[in-house]
Amino acid sequence: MKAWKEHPRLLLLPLLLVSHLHSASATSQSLGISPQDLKYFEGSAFWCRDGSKRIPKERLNDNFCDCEDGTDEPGTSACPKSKFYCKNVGYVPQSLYSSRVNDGICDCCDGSDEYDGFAKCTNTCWEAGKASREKLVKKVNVYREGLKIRRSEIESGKKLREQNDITLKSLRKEEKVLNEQVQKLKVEKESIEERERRERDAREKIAKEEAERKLKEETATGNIADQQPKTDVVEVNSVDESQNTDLVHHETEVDSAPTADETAEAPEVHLTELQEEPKLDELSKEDLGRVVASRWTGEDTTVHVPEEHQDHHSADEATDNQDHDADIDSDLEPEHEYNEEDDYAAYREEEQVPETPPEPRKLSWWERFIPGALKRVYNREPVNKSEADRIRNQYSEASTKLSTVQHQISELESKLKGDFGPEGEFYSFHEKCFELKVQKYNYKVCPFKQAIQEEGHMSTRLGNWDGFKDNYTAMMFSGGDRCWNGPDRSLRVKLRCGVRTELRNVDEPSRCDYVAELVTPTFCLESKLQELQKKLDQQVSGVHEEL
Amino acid sequence: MASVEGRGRARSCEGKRTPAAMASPGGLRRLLWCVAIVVLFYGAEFGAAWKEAEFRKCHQSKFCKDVRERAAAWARGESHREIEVREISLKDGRVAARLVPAGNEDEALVLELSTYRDGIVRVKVVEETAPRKRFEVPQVVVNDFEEKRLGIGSIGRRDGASVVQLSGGFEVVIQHKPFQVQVKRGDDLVLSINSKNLFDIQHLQVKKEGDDWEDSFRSHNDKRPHGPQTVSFDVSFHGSDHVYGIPERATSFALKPTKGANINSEPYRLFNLDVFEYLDESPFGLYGSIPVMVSHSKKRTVGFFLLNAAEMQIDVLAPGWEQVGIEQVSDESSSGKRSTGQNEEKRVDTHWIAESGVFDAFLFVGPSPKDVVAQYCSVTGTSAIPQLFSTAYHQCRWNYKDEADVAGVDAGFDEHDIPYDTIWLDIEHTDGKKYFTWDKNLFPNPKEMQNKIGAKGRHMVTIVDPHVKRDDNFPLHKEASSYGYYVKDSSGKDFDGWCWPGASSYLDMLSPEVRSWWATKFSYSNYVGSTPILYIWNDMNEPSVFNGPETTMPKDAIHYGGVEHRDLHNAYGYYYHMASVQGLYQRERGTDRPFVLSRAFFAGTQKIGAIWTGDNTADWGHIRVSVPMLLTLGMTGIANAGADVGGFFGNPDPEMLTRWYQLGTYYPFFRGHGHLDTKRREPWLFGEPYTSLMRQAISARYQILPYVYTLFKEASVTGIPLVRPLWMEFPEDESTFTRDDEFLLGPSLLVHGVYSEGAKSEKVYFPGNETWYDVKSGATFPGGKEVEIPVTLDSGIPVYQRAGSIIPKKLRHRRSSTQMQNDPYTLVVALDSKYEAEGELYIDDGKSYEFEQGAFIHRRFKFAKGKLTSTNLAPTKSNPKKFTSSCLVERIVIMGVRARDLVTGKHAVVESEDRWIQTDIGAPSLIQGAYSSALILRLPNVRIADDWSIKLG
Repeated sequence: MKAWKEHPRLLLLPLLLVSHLHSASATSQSLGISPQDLKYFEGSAFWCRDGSKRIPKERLNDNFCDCEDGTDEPGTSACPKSKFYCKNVGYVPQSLYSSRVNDGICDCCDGSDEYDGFAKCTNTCWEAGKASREKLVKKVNVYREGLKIRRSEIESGKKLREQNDITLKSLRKEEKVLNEQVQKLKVEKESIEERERRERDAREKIAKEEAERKLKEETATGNIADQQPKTDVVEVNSVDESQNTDLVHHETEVDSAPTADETAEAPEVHLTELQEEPKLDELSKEDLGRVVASRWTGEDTTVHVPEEHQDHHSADEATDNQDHDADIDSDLEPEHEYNEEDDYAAYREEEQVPETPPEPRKLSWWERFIPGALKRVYNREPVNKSEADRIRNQYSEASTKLSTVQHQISELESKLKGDFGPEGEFYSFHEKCFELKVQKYNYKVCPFKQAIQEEGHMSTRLGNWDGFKDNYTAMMFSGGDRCWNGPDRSLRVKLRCGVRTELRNVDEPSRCDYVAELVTPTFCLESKLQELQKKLDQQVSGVHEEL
Repeated sequence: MASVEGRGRARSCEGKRTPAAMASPGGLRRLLWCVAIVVLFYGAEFGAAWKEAEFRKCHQSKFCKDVRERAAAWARGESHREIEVREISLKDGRVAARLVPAGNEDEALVLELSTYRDGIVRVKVVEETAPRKRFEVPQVVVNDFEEKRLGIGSIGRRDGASVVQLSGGFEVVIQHKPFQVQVKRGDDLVLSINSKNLFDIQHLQVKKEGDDWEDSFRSHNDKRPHGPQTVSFDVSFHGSDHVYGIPERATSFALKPTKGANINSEPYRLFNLDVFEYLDESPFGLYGSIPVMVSHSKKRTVGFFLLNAAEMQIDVLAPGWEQVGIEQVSDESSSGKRSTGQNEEKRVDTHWIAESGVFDAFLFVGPSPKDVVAQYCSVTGTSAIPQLFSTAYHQCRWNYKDEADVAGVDAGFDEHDIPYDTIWLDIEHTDGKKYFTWDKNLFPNPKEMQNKIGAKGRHMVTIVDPHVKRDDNFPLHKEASSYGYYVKDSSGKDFDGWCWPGASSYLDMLSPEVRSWWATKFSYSNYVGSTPILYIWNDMNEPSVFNGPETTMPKDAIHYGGVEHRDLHNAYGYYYHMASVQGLYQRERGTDRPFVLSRAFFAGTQKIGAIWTGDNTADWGHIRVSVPMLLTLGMTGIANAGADVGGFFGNPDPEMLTRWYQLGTYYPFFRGHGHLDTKRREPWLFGEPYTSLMRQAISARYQILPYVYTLFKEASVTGIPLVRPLWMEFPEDESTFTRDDEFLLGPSLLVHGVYSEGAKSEKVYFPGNETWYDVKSGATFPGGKEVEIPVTLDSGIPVYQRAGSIIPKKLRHRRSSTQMQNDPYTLVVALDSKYEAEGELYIDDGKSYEFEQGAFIHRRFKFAKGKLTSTNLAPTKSNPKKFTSSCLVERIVIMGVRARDLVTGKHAVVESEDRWIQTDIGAPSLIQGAYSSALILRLPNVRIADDWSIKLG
């Protein structure tokens, strides 16, 4: 062991002697050349690798750059583009930029890059090698363990996929049955309604006409609603009042969001500029300072509003908190939480906003149809009522079921079509979200769906799922909320191998470009394990050879 | 990540919110509030960048409007008013005279005229009696300037005028009626003051009942307690083609007229302001002011400097200017009355309006462009010689976020083998924008961080601004307020403004006591977490006050000695910069050259430190305008300056960024910087070919560091700038007079940027009669011609070496300049038509003041008669300190060698050693594919410090 440690230093001695001569002598001609390349310089002359010149052997490492590509000076700093090879016995060989040769900083652990006598380098290869091997061993173990989990992930993914396939098949069957039912009930319903119509006609012409028009109108709406659930994600069977309003607001929100954006952007500049000027002058000194500062910082100055309004904020926030919590509770089915592009917390929060104005709530088709029109009309038809109601109820139930099933089918179909990694290893990630708290922010990454940043109950979308990147080594979320003065937010999640799955190192290297790491056994690749094992074996055998 | 503190919403990873995301669960009322305000300020943010309406135009300032209109009326002959010289005598070797305006003895003025060595005339005019003393700007004229004064022996008389003889055939003539000061050389009129009879010093008054002196602008009211007090006058440059100078503004180098027959623009304004998103073409004044104007013609160069730190507005007048704003312009009157029978004469008339202060003018007679700069710098000081590291590449960003970020960027440079010397930390590194503190979460171990950077020979710069957070727990604030060190508002309370930290007060840097106190804050014990590799950046020192008039301090704020801010505004940043430099000087007890970058500047800033051109923008226009901006700064003494490479605002695309680096290589101060909101732009983030091209550009700077450092030495001795207009080296070449798309770096390198996207060619003008050599390929171009040069991104920007020059370089690639210390030199010889060339090299330790005691090497290289000789230029007297270098010359490149000499197998001989050197034919640069056109002397291995001669075989 001791002998091994001394060995490289002995090697260095002749170099140190040579160094003061400034031009390298024959003994140091092999300096900085990797063992594989030694052959290249065997003859009495050699070509610059770019083919530009032929160089006599005595100009190899003579401390003058003859080849612009650096071929002739592997052991000196003479050529900007050459590389210096250090053996680093006991550790791993290294190829350095020529800028590191004799620059006074010890770069190679064997110190061979500093031979001009200005810097004294000690050989630290043994320590470095040891530490590196230990690290490698640890890493290999992590990979082994991780790989096991990965394999089971792949298996369970497969199973899950099979299950989903089975579910899909049975859902399709169910859909078929339901479809037939609905069609049948529809015919029955229509014939009953036809009879009803005639009876009403007979009884009270004017009233009937009125009722009929309404009914037709409503039936028409109902039919559209019947057909829609295929694309609509909201589950009709669980539609209660609150969710129904959600849906309504949702749509308006989605529609109006871009318009809000547009108004805020360039086209309105003219108008706002006109307003801006007197406005600045009306601000208090302090607000003026903030507003002017915000030009550089891009800080939004909206938070600071006159006291009176700020009070409102806090009051509102308090109540909103409760609302929000209640909202989450009622919404807890994880399956649906991130189904829609826009179905994320920030929007949900906004949905609450318009509740305050006493604007009349739009009644749903169901509300109007069933309790209102239906009863009003049929109370007068005691003969047909129970039968008609029964048919209608059956029809309604069946079509609701059908739309639910259709919704599940489309969801499953799109899921099954997704890219879950080369071996489908990320299949189970579809149902998972990973969170990390960094100071006051909570980051929530839901693969295949979206990523958000939460601050209290405020939520900012960092991006929607944009697929795997760089050969399945990263997950990309893009098209997140627009930054002020900046781009759309995006998040790049680099995958790392580890035994436990966790999100870590969330960072924002430049404004609104986020990066994070997701450590997971699912990313412990067999090929990488083999690579590491090989590296470790090489290092270990290298040490043995030296010994 | 900037946040204005004290708002409870300091943010880290949060970023900006869109209007949609901003609406949090709140009532409709809140939503509406948000939307309303968002729309309001969103528009403001995304609107036209420059907030023109927030800055005063001339007509929005009482003093400017009044004087500008009155001057035109006077010039039209309305209410004409003459000043007469009543008494003239010699006092103490100076000319003393009484000037009486319009026969009004009560408003008599006193003139004092003195002459100095090297062709400088100083003319001072003040009121004979006044209720108040006018402010005179201290600390700008160098201490030993009076030692250069020449006693005037006698006053001659000629045609009712007094004449004082100067050296070099120049004379000063004082016309008595009307009063006029002229500089003449023989019969040639060179410069005149008051040839248009616009000289006027508004007599100081005591406020009377009913006087309305206040001046409002937007929501700000200036009390103007001392009333009108402007100093205004006309200066004419005779025989002149163009005038230059009066920075800082983003506009052409040759100043365009502001008033004339068909011209009516704003006057050039000198008023230091923090201008958000300034435009790349505007006469509007920016962060710094130097009231120096230089005029040049084929015959001569002449300069004028008004030592006055108040707001100034300067019109460059073109014929017909008197009629501007007058409804009917009659041709007769516009051409007839104006001229004084010198219709044929070329001249440029200018009209200067200073809001307050004194008339203290310096006239520089030239006659060469270099003479004028040297004369100006002998008054206000020559450039401080920078530390070597600060002449290399700087990497900055608002903000490198934390220690890991710093380590990562540092490692990134190493990983990509790109050299850099200094990494910068902007405001976010502090604890709540309290300067001299560190954010404990982001920078818990600042010393350790600096030690790691320093271990690679690199340096760090942190920002320290002049506003102090009004936080009772901040010791600096407590001290400053208890000592009364803040500027006061007009009511006498500590001025309370708004800047990065929120509510802030501003140190009164006019006070020598405050400056001394401030300087102590930079000691290692006071600046906790600082180490010897840490240097300083002064920003916001115009001063920037976010809620002040025009984003600065109200003019009626009060400084030390009761001086109004109005009087010293343009010098505030200078005093602040000065005190910070003093701090770093004291930190190492005068053994280490301070490096402090400042944004604001004034006449004399060059003797303190470097400046940069402020918050520019990532667009081609800003790359382009950086050249005239740096040319102007150079002509007014500021040798050490640069523009932010990449542009502060906005995101440069990789081509633009590459082009900017290629130009930045030749900026005296070379720093990459970007705004908080911009995408990361470290040179390796754009992939190939960009990474390689940016590496090449930065590396090109490192290669010429020996030359650049020698130029800085020259600037420190003479004041001659690094960035020179072509006419500084070729004063008689008229094609160069308005040329500002190219410049000379020192005497020997011609640099022409590429200023447009996808450019295929650039029109390069080659001045003079001699050849120019492409620095990469060695290709030659004859002087006196404009040539369309094809350009590609790979080929870089066009750069040429002047025939007859020798440029010392170090071609070895290193991590930073520190590692280059022992590297061998390459001398690049560019032969002229006489087969000769010469050049210089200055070397010292690059950081201390030991050069003052002789510790430096100064060589002269001369190639003549087939022989390259190195001789000593340093004084040979025995010096207390010595600087030695064991560096060798590894390569001598000779361009322009005759074909018969350019053959292989030739030898050269080191004569003193009788040693033979091998020669080769090769390219002048170590760039692949370059054409082999130069003779290369391999490994002459002579010592750079020695005398030697090498003869070609």
